[in-house]
Parts: sequence; structure tokens; C-alpha cells
Amino acid sequence: MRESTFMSRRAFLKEAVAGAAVAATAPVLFASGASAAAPAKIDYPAKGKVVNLIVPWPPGGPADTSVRVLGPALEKELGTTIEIVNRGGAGTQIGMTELARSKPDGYTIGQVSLPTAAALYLNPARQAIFNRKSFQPIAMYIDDPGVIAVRADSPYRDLKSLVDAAKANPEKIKVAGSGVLAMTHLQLLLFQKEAGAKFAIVQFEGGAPQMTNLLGGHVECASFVLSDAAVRHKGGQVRVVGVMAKERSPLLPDAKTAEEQGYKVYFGSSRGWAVPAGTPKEIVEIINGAVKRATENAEVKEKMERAGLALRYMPTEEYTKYWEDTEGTTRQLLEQEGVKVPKP
Amino acid sequence: MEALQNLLHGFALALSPLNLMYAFIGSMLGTLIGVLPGIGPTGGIAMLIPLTFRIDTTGAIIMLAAIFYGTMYGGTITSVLVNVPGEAASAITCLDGYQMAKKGRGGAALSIAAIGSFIGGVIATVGLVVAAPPLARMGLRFGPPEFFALMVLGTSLVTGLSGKSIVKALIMAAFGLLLGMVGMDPALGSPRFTFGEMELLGGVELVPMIMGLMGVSEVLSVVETPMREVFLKTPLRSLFPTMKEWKDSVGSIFRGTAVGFSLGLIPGMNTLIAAFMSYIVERKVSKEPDKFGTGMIQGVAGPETANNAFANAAFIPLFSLGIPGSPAIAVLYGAFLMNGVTPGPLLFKEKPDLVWAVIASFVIGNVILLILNLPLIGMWVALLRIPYSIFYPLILVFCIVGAYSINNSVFDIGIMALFSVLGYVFRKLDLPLAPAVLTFILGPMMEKSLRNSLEMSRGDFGIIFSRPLAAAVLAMAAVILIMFVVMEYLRKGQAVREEQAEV
Amino acid sequence: MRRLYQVASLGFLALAVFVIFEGRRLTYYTDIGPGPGFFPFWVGGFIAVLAVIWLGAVSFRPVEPMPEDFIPSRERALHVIAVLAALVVFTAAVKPFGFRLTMLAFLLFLIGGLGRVRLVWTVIIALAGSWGVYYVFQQLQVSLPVASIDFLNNRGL
Repeated sequence: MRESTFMSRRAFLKEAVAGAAVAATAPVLFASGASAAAPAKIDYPAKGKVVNLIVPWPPGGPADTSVRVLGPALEKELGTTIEIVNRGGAGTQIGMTELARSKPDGYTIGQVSLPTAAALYLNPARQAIFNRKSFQPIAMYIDDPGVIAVRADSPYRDLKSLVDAAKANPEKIKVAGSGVLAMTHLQLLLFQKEAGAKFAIVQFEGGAPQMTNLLGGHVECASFVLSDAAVRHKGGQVRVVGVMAKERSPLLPDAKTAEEQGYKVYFGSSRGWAVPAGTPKEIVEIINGAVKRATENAEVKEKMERAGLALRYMPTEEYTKYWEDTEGTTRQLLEQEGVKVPKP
Repeated sequence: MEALQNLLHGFALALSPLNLMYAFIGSMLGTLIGVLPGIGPTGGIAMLIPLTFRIDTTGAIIMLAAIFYGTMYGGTITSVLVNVPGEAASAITCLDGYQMAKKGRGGAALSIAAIGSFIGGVIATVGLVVAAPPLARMGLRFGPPEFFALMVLGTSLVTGLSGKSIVKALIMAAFGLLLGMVGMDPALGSPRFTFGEMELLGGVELVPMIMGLMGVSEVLSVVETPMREVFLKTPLRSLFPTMKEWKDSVGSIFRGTAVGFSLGLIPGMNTLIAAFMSYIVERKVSKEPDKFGTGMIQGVAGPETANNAFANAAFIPLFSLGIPGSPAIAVLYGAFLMNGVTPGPLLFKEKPDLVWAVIASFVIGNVILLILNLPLIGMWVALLRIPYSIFYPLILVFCIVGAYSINNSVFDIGIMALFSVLGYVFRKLDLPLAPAVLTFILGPMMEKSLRNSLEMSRGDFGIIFSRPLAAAVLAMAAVILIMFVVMEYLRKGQAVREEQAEV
Repeated sequence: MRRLYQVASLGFLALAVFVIFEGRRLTYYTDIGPGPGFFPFWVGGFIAVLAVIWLGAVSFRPVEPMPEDFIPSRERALHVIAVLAALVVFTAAVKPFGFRLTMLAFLLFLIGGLGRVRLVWTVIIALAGSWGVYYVFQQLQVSLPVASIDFLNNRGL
């Protein structure tokens, strides 16, 4: 602020030089600040502050296991203590609700399972208080394509033989699912539409009873997530006859995709991370980077492979689009099954 | 024979100082998890998996397995001493175990439970050694229709829990069925009786319900009586069972082993059912069925043995076929995988050393648990001397934390509070709690397996009768029911005749 | 006891009626099997029948007399209600105030207030039961609730 319009010549020169100096260096300052960190660096995660990972599953299941494997690496990359909070119940609804209600400050991150979460909030009977817009997706870390498998000694050796049998005996060939409107169910609906055949879907509760009943011969085939079948495919007890993905899975290189056999079905389950909507972009970026580096950790890769979990990193933008697309497909399938999905 | 040789070799490995230590740590942790409310084997093992990453594979497996069957030992303690089941499977032990404690025989109850558990566990392990693959294959033959038949059998046996009034028992059994229906139905996934409450979509959580219904309601009952100091001051007679108690228990222990072992082979079963079934069996074969619920040692020996035999038998499908029969075993399965061990038929061929060392460590683990638990009984029982005005709030802390820790849910604490009121009222009205707990578990399993059976047959009920194993189980259910009725009739006839003779 | 049993049986009857209606509201039968409404309907019906039988049995047959100490003295009854009330209050307060504070208050009330134990012991045990338990379970990877009220949260409670 100028006190008087009149200035001594010395003062004027000083000001001029100072001004010129600032004008000269300003662009340099701004340019260098662009990539790594803004001049005012966000203090996240703050020293000593705990980051909570909400896992909307009870301890012990495959979803929870994947978090416990990734956890130590993620902790190292974020540079602060991580606490895994299991909030299982109602097929992830309880955990997701808690995530949606948390403060968008980056100290509460939640695991998201798709299409499970979408099937949840699109279904009015579930009265979910959240939808896609309640969250800010961060990154995917597991991509588990759907598969169809038979017992190793089964006469059905590929998808075609199963489809032929189903066409000849509609609703007689039994296929094990893992839950009403779960991914395994939705994938079957897609497959049935594509193949023009109807199976007898027997809904068990989760992957373990599916496997038990398949091995016991009570069903002819089963619709799994790849991770539920991988270990036993390699062990020779079951045979994965079709993988619902664009490419063969590196975990099971000898299992043909459905596409290869003439059925264009692409569906699967994924696990990713999200924070409540409104979380600052910088924080999202930091977490995203940490997840990426954690998935590249050698020990994590090894343990995931042993457990049959298909590690796959997908960054924020791609994951956001993936969520949108998956929601769209899920919406169609739910409507097909008679669920009155509210208009978007 | 070869198996014996392998077993001896396994013992040599399992007795190495390092492996012994792992077995010890696992047993201790398991017992602790069993004593502590809420966290059952499933959650406990899941959380302790990272511990095992730093150890060698064999040691890791030994430790994880020890944690699992160790929890069966721990759960008994709180059930007997304060009528609060530390673990769902121990719920039935509360019935007679707590009554025994009230009479000063708590130590004896715990001793018999520990020894019975040991015997059951070891015999089950012998089964594992001798006949694992064929036994496991037998278990696999239980598909939905067979399972349904088994559930029908189990539910019809609920009459074995009834006291004087069969009407009251049936009402409670039906009430339990209703409670089991809360949540999403198996057919369409529609919410039932949830009153819009999201937390109820998964149904009423078992442990908070049992803790409230049996544990906290007991606290309320005792708080109500001004006589509360009396039972604690009852002189603690010898901690060890008397000769008579030993004699009475022997049969129960072997029957419990049989029940627990057979049920452990069937994927989808759980320990609570094994314990309940054993209790019912004991009542039915006893000469004094009406005394059950007042402190009969058979009511403790049988179920406690059964749940240990179950836990050890559950390893059979896991090891020989790689089938996890229950959530806890499924977690173990995952833990095994992460340590580089793939349970299944190939395991015996590929890693015989590991397998036999682990099997040997089962026996060792059971020994360790016995040694650990017996001396501690004195300590646990001494806790009862604490004045009740301090003791019962601590029990409540215990229950609250337990109810919360299942799902990190405050709602579950509320469930516990609600059921404590119900339990209190039911006690006053002399309505038996056990039938409700049993049907609460069996009901949903029955509905689910029926639904699955009909999905298999597309609506044809005949599937349950046309499949040989299912039909056989149903026939057995019918036979047992008839037997019960006949036995009851004969007993009443006998009582009438005795009365007339006295006249 | 007769009155009490009659009231109880009527209570079950009312429950049964509610359940039967719920059963009818839900889908009764799907194309391949019983739907969500099937079993509630029939189990409800079963309870209704049993409740009526029970009602009849206690109304027309001799019923055992009420045990002497059935109805607690006023003092004891208040005690029971106090414990229950404490439990309910705890459930409501634990989310905003966190486990440690709420449990401390709970224990102080029950041990010191109702139990009239000496202050010293009350405080020691209450602290052990709240802070102590919190710490032990933290070691076991179970995190008991932390306060949601910001004021308390920022102080690490």
C-alpha cells in the first residue's frame, strides 16, 4: 500500500529491482512446483495418525485375506500405521455404509468389491443409503474374473459340451452359485443369455460350499471367481473350462477364455480401494501411489499368487470408469431378474 | 504297517524343541481365544496368520492347528464358572456345568471337560491317521438333500431337551426357528423381520444372542436374589472328580467322541450342533433324564468331548481332500495356502514329513492343553471368591466386549441387551432356553438345504426321498423318534407300576 | 403363576399372529419351492396352536403356585432395572464417547454406585476394566470403539 505518491528516486529503484526479480523468478517457481508436490505440501498421512482400512467382510474370507497380505506393504508405502477394521455383515452393506459416513480426510479408506457393492445399492429392497456418487474411487488391486469349472473327471471338457447338454435338458444341468445376485449369479445370467441355454442354478453361500458340492458330485459344474478355483485347478481336482475375460489369466495359462470358445462374456469380481466422496485430490493421489507401489512388492505378489489371488493394479481414472461400466451392466442384469432398479 | 512308521517318524519331528514350542504357543493362544468372549477360532486364526509368516512352514501349520483345537478347551471355563459361554460351542456346557459349579463341583466339571476333550481329540486324530481318505469321501456324499435330512433329524431331537413341559419346549423351539428367519431368506434374498434395520440383514448374530440370553440374564437373575453371596462361599470341595463322577463320565466321553467325530466329517456342520447332539444323547441314555440341568456330570463330559472330537475330526476332510468343512477350517485352509502348503490328496505324497509331523503334533498339542489346563483350574475356580458386586460388572465387561468384537458392531451389544431381558423373562416363566438356541442354528440350515435341494430338482420334493443316503438319514430320524416315544412310554409305565407297587 | 402364564401365552399368540401376517405379505411360494413367506406362515401357525394349548392348560388345570421369592423386593427390583438401564445407556453412549470413557462410567456406577464398594477399589477396578481392557484387546488386534465426538477424538479417546 502506498503511503504517498511521492517517492525518493532510491526507493523507486529498489522497488523496481525487487519487482523485476520477482517477476523473473515467479514462472520458474510455479513451473518447478507442478509435478512432485505443490509449494504448500499436504501433510498426509500425518505423523502418528492411524489410517483405518475398513474391510466390509468378516475376518478370514478371501477378501479379508487379500487385505492382510497387502496390508504390511501398504503400511510401508504410506509411511504410517494401518489398522484393519473388519465391519462385515449384510454382504458388505454395513462396511460400505460406514465408509460413506466417514470423514473425507483420508484417514478412513474402505475396500470395495464390485459388482457386489453395485448389486447392493441398485437394489431398492436393500435400502442402501449410498450409491456410486457417495465414494471417491482410488485404485483397484485385485481383478478376479469369473470362471466356470467342472470336476476333473467330468465328461464335460469345455463350455460347448456344457451348453449342448443344457440345451438338450433345459434346467437340468446343475451349476453351483455363491449367492443370489452375487457376481457368480450375474455372470451366469450373462452366460446363459449369450449361449442361449438355461441351467439349474443352485445357490450356496460362498465359495467353500460351492467347491464341496462340486467335488461331491452334487452339481455338474460351478460358477466361481477365479481365485476360488485356481488352487484346485492347479492341483488337478477341478478343471476350469472357461474364463470370462478378454485374455487368459496368468495364474491359469491353460484355461481357455469364453471368448476363445465363441462366447463373448466378460465379467468378474474386483477389489479396490475408495474413500468418501469429497476427499481432497492430493490425498487420493498419495493413496493411489501407495497402492501401486504396494502391489509391486515382491512378497505381496508371491503370497497373492500362492493364495490364487489375481493381483492387478488399476489407477484412479480407469477404476472410476470401470466402476461406472460395471454398474451399468449390473443394472441391466438386475432389471432382467425383475429387480425394480430406480432410474439413475 | 506303513502308517504307523510314518506316524512315529512324525513324532520324532514334532518333538523337536522348536516344534514343541510352536505347539505350546498355539495351544496357549487358542485357549486364550476360547476364554475370551466373542473372538472365536475363525477371527482369531485370521488375525494371527501374519505371525506365522516368519516361521518355517511345518511350525506354522502346527501352531495354527493348535490354536484351532485349543479354543475348544478355553470356551469351557467361562461356561462352567459363570454361565457365560466364552464361545458358542460351549453354550450347552452352561446348562449342567454351571449348576455343578454352584454346588462347589466346578473344579470337577472343568477337569472332566479337559480330560474328555483330550480323549476325544486323540481318538479323532487316530481316525485321521487310520482312515482319512475314505472317511473324507464319505463326508463328501452329503449334498443338500442329505444335509436337509440331517437337519430334520437334528430338529426332531429337540424334544430331547425338553424338561417337564413339552408344550413349553416346543414353543421355545418354534421361537428359535422364528429368530433364525430374521435376515435375508435363502430363496430370493428378501429381507425378513428386519424392520428396515441394515444390521439385521445378516440375521441375529449368534454369540451376542447367546451371551445375552444365557449369560447376562443369569447375571440379572443373581443380582435379583439377596442370597447371592451364598453360592460363592460354598466350600470348594476337592478340585478333582470323585470316583463316582469318573465312572459316570466314562460312557459319556466315548459317546461324545462318536457323535463329535461323525459330525466333524460332514462339511457344513459346526461345533455347537455336535455339543447339543451329545447332550441329547446323554439325556436319552441316562437313567435319570430329569436330573439334567441340575448338575449332571454327563451333561458336561459328553458335549465337551464331542466338540473336541469334532474339531480334530474336521481336519480329516481338510487334509485328505482339501475340503474346508466350516468357516474356521476355511481360514486355516487359506493360512496353509499362504504358507505354501496345499491341503489335499497330493499333500500326503508331496510333503509326507510335514503331514505326519503335524498329525503327531495334534496328539502332542492335546497333551499340552491337558497339562496347561488342569493346574489352571484351581486358579480359575479361585476367581469365584471375588465378591459378586465386583464380579458381575466384570462379567458384563466380558460380555460387552465379546458381543462387540464379532463384527466390531455396537448394534450387537444392543442385541445382547435385548436378549438378556428376554432370557430373564423366559427364566421366570420356566421356559427352557436350550431348544431355542438349537433351532436357531438348525432352522436356517434346514431352510437353506431344502431350498438348495429344490433348486437341484427344480421343485420336486421327491429328491429327498429318492437319494439313498438322504432317505437313510430320514429313516433313521423316524426310527429314533419312535424309539424316544416308546422309551418315554415305557418309563412312564414303569413309574406308574412303581407307584402302584408302593400303594 | 396362572395369570402370568396366561399373559405369556397370549404374548406368544400375538407374536404368532404378527408373524403369520408377515408371512402372507412376503412371497409365499416361488416357482420351484417355498418362498420367504412360507415358513414364517407355518411356524407362526404352529406357535399360535401351541399358545392356545398352553393357555388352555394353565386355565383349566392346576398350576403350581408362585414361588416365594418370585417377585423381588423393591430394592432388588430397582437393582435389576439399574443394571439393565446401565447396559442400555452404555450401548447408546459408546459410539459418541468411545469405549474407555463409557466403560469407566459404567463400572464406576455398577461397582461404586450400586455395589457400594470402597472408592479406592472401585476406581482401580473401573480403570482396569476400561483402559486396561482396551489396551489388552488392542494387542489382540481388536479395536474397541473410539469416541466419535471430535472434542474427545482429538484428545485420542
